[in-house]
Amino acid sequence: MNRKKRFSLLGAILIASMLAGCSNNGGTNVTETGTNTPSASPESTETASAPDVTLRLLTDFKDIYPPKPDWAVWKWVKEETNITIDQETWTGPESLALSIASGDMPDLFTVFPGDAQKYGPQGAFLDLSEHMDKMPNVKKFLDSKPEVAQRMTSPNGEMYHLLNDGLGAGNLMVWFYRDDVFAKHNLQPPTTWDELYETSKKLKELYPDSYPFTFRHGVGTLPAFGPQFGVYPYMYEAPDTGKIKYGVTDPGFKVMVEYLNKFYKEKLIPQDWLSMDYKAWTQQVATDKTFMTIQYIGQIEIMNSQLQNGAHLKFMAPPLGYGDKAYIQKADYENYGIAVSSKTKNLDATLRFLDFIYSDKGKDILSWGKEGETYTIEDGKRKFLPQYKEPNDLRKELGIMTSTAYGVADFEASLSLSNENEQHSFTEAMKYQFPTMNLTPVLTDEERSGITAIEEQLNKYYESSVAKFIIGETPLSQWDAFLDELNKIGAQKIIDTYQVALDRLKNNIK
Amino acid sequence: MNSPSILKQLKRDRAFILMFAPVLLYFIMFKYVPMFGIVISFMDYNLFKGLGGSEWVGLKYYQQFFDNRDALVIIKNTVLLGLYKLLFGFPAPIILALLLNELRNAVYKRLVQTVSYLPHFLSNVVVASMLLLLLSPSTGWVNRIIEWFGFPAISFLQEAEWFRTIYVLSEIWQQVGWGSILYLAAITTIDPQLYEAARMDGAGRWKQTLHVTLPGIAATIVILLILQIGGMLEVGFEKVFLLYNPATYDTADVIATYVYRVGILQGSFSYATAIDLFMGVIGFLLVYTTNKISRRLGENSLW
Amino acid sequence: MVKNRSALSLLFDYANVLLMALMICAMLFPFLHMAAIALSDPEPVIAGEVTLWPNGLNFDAFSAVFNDNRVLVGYKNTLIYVVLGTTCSLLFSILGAYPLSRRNLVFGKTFMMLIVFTMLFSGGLIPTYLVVRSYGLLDTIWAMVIPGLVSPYYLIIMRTFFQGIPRELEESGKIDGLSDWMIMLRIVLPLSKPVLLTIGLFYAVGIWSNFFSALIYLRNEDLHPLQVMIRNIVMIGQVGDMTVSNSVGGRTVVLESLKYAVILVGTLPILIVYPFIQKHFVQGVMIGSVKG
Repeated sequence: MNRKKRFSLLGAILIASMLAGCSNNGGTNVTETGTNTPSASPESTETASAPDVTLRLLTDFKDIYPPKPDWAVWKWVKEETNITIDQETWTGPESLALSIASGDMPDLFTVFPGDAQKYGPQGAFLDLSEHMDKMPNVKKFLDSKPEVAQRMTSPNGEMYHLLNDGLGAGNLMVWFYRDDVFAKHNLQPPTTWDELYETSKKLKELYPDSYPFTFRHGVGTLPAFGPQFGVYPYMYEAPDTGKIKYGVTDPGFKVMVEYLNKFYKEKLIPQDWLSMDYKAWTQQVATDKTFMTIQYIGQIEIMNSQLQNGAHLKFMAPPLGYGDKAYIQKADYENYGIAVSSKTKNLDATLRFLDFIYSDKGKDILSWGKEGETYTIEDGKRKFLPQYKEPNDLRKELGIMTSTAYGVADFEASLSLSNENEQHSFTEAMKYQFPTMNLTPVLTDEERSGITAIEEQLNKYYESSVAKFIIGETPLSQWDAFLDELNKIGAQKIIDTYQVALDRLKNNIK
Repeated sequence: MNSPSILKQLKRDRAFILMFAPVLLYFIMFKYVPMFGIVISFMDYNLFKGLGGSEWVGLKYYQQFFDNRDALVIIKNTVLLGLYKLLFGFPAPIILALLLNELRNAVYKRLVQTVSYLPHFLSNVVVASMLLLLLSPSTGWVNRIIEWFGFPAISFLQEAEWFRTIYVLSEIWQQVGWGSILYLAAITTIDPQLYEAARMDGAGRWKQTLHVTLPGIAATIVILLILQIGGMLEVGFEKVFLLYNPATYDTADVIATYVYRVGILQGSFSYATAIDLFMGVIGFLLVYTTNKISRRLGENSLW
Repeated sequence: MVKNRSALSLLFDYANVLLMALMICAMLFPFLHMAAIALSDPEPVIAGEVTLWPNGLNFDAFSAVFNDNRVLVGYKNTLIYVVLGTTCSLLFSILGAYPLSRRNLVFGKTFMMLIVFTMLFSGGLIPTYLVVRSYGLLDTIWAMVIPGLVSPYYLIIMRTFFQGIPRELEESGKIDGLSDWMIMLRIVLPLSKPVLLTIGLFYAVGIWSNFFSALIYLRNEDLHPLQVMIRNIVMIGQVGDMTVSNSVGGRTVVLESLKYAVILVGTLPILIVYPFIQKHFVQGVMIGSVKG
């Protein structure tokens, strides 16, 4: 029967919104990690006298911490600012679009940078750069984190959203390995891709039906391998030249594809690596079918909590593939932002709310809660009450660190609930971040529509070609033809466009 | 024509017009009023300012689609996938209904019927994850059977030449039982006297099926065929999206997935609407032509 | 000759039974698999050791589902939408299909064209939303009923069935002095029981599985049908690598088990509707009327 589901795009759009976390989402390019937040800060003072206002907030919906009206964070916001937050949730980016199209907009939105840059210029969101005088704490935050400020600034200097900050570390994709298996067979974690190959061979001999090395995002994993070969396989600001570079054309990238082809041929990676889903990946990790993998950093402990019989996963430094130093992606930045409706009738209260959540006090309360209520102090150190066992408990029960319930989060709060192994992972991971992010600078509407079609073709051709090189459907001798074709499609035009945007960005900063 | 004047006809049919009026009102209010939205395919739709504040861009989005060097491949993939689905997916429920009709044991018949429509209730997400499970080269049942026969395992979802087969088979699997319900309902309306008469003429089961059952459900078959031909190019987005990957783009990339990818890059409702309209026009031409042919052949027709 | 044919016929019967048995296996597979996963202990599920038979017996997933308040609210809402929606949809479809089944209806061709046209062209998501909103249907139970009130597809199918009813019956009604309305109510509809039940089932199932209207038109969670919750849970596993387990009373429930438990709980009730309808699928409903 013809099941007409014209609208079933939804599922995919949800997927896309998740993927947005790990793909280019139109941010700007950033070169240096920020300094720590300075100590003295102008606190919002007018709490007691502030008028009682209710603000409507539209956030995304997460089933692992579905919003509750009685979340303590909103109570704390009320106590500190006299603002009541009325939270609604969306179910996909259409909800945002529908809300804008209907004209019935809430005061505050949780947005992805791409949405802010799309709908902001259309007039839906307020240009917050014009209201910085009312938000001294936000301004202070932006001054202290210029690279975050850059990512939220549109080409002409407008600021249609404020980005969250503080929890980006969770976006890191890191290597990890089965330290119990390695110890048992007296193996060392590989430090180079050659060693990775040798170690995989040995493990394959020991466990013939295993695929010693596994990853699960298909071609989408290559950006995570890139930094071990000195590149990102897309357009990014090259650390050495400061110019936009297309990493696919770099010799380092070819070396990477050669390695992966070798791994595939010798069955050291799963033969269905392109179509594996999360479930398949979990199964492999849980059943001695794989021993080295790359995934989001939080997955180490999620898997460890499920492993049986002494099996254990541990962080592993990225192995070097090409060049002189192995990195992981620089990804400890956040991809969620907060936008304000251009039609808000509560402008002052909205700005006050934003200023509060970016203030030091707001950061503290919205990350830790209140003494006695959520934590106690032992030996001068804060400790969450025993009912909060893992970081997700804070979100689920209290609303801490959920969308728009913070501006800057104190990662220490979340980390304090991590076990030693996880804390080790985070500390180590920070050491290996690539100097630049895998992001492209923000384009103007005109620039974007000028390259959209080519960019899609380029990406599609790149993805399918690389997949075929790796599974050996196309011989590697065709590599130069592949590079020629990328040029023919118009890679240079895209590089040039991003270069213009990057130059503009650098000019704006000066 | 010597038909009575419109006024007379209206008078004659007033009861029917009265019946139809609320339905017509529904279609106007909920289908035709929103159809003004089609104009955004000729605009750079500004969500915030609405239609009044959006800029006209003419055929920009149509041109953009055809400028794509892959446009032909994408259209070809869409047409082929739709065509195979029609070719194999359309007869399947008819055959199933006929076979069910021949089952002698009533209890068994009802069991089969009930079970056969179960997969219709699974969402594409679940179907895709089942397929991944079954087709995995290392652990999937299908490959274990292939290996048991001594052949090497196949990475089904990674090989472009398998994509259409997998897609069409899984569609049939999902929809065959559900689709057969209509035909079974149609079979119940056949006058048993016709079977009796056929038996008297010495027709066996095969002949009875051919000369009584099939003609009895022919009207339903023809109408469904016309409708499905019209919807042929509407290849469901979700399932393709869940099952394809870069290695199978060559056969799996269809218009819906392409629009989706471009949409992500530029977030354009205008683009999606333009492609929708284009597909609608083709669908309409298909329906119109098939309907005409069907009428010529003296078969049932839509209008 | 006769004997020969019946041997062939017997052979066909066996083959047919066998073929259908194979089909049953193929169709049941996913449900057995889901049930097995939902009922197994967490460890074998994570290890991927469960296929068709539960490994261990564990009702945590189901108790997690039934302890979730949203499930009960969802059930209640879904039930209301299905009953109300199916009734309205069926009614309107009959009102639309019966006139169109008259071969010489005035404007009949135009009406058909108008209806077919809506199958192929639509204004798209946003205009539809704006229109539904302007009618004031947002956040009301009617949002689940009215926007999808009449499916052109089902309407056309119903019309085809009505066309199959012998004209003589209607004529005889006319002779008995029945009005057009009475002919429809007294003669046509009773004869159309199988198609009415079938289309009714289609509408019911459509409304049962409709999560999209709810996502778009219902912001008030108290109005959400069961499917929205199912959708949310199914999507976590698919979309993100977020978490694998939900904690229930201190014990871990694997997301996989939870997901399938939710799907089963959300699907089984509608599955049992068909067998009730089936018993009306008896060959030859027409016979009595034609003779009588």
